Amino acid sequence: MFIITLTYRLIILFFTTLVILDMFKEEDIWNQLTSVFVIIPFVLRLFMIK
Amino acid sequence: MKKNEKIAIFLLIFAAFVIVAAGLEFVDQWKPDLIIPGPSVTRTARLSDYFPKLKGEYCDTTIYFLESGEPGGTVMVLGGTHPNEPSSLLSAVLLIENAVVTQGRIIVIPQANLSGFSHNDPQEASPRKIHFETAGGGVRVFRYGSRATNPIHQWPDPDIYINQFGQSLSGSETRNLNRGYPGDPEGNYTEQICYGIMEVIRQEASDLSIDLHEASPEYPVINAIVAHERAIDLASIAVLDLQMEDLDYSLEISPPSFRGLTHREWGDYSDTLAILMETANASQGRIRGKTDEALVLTGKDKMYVKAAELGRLYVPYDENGHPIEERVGRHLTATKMLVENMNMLWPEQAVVYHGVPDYYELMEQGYGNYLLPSL
Ligand SMILES: [Zn+2]
Repeated sequence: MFIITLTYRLIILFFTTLVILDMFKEEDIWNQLTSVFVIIPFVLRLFMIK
Repeated sequence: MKKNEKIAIFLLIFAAFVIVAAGLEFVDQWKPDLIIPGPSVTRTARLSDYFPKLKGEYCDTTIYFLESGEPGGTVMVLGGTHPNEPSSLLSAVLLIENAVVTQGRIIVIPQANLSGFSHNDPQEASPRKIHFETAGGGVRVFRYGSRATNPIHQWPDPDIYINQFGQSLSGSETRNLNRGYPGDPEGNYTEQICYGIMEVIRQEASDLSIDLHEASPEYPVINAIVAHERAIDLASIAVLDLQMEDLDYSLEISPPSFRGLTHREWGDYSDTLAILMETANASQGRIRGKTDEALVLTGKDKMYVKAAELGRLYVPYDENGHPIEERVGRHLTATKMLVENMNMLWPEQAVVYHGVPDYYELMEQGYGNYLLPSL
């Protein structure tokens, strides 16, 4: 259980970082906005708040 | 710095605000509800006192002992098996805060699945809290939770939940407290809570154990008492007595093949007489309209009135709804009838108490009037 949770959180951390990096490269503001809507639930999951 | 990078920084700050605001709301839902020990509460315990593995876990719920000191029987009342069925918790709270026990003892677990109180069901738009004004003018607040254990405490759900009897259920039922009995000390989080509650029943030798629920008005088993076969005589007499009080109940025998539920496994895995009771809660129904605190407290809903006119419901439904007073009143009056008839059938294990409002008193005075002030 602990191992699964840790792995899961590492995966979320990895993808959150990717999305944030991509948001800085992205030229289209609508795509940047889309990234924000991905980042919000990912961070809440990362901290196991929701 | 390029323009798109500036926008990205701005959007990150925006995201941080939303995360903090949403996070604070989620975390607020983890805070315990105030339940005030009433005149007969002699002590409290935790579930981990019966199953030490749960110590330090969020689910380690409080158990209230209302003891007379006079020899007699033991009755256990369980609320909050499903935290989105508020009359269940609220009935247990009124027992804790009002009952005066003069013979035997009553054990109350008001929030059986405490983890379920720490979150809401996604996409249900449920209110987070419900409020009551007390007689003294203060306000008492209780959480409106989810049907199931919080996934931050138990996850991931399997695609199919295979219960301890090898029966297949949908994956999310793995977090349903009323599917995991008799529990398993080595099982998942919810099955461990079940095991803890089973241990309370066994170690305290509960004579009669009552699990309180609500169901949506379109669900067939509603305004109902479901009894394990050893409790069916007792439940039958109680149903007749309730009819004399103008409270109609249907009586069901716990189906032998429907495994994992309180009315089945409590009776099979201990000596207790196991009973489950249901009232009508529109706020968990599937055809309800706007879902807010008012719907939880009044049960008033146009769609249910319409469904009743079309003959689609299992309870009468009109514009008066089914207020929380009615639902708590039904649970408390039925509990009283069950206990009184247990006393008649088995006088050596009698449990006698008073001070708890019945259906008619609640309908007249309102729920908040029977809560202790939060000072
Ligand atoms: Zn239920």
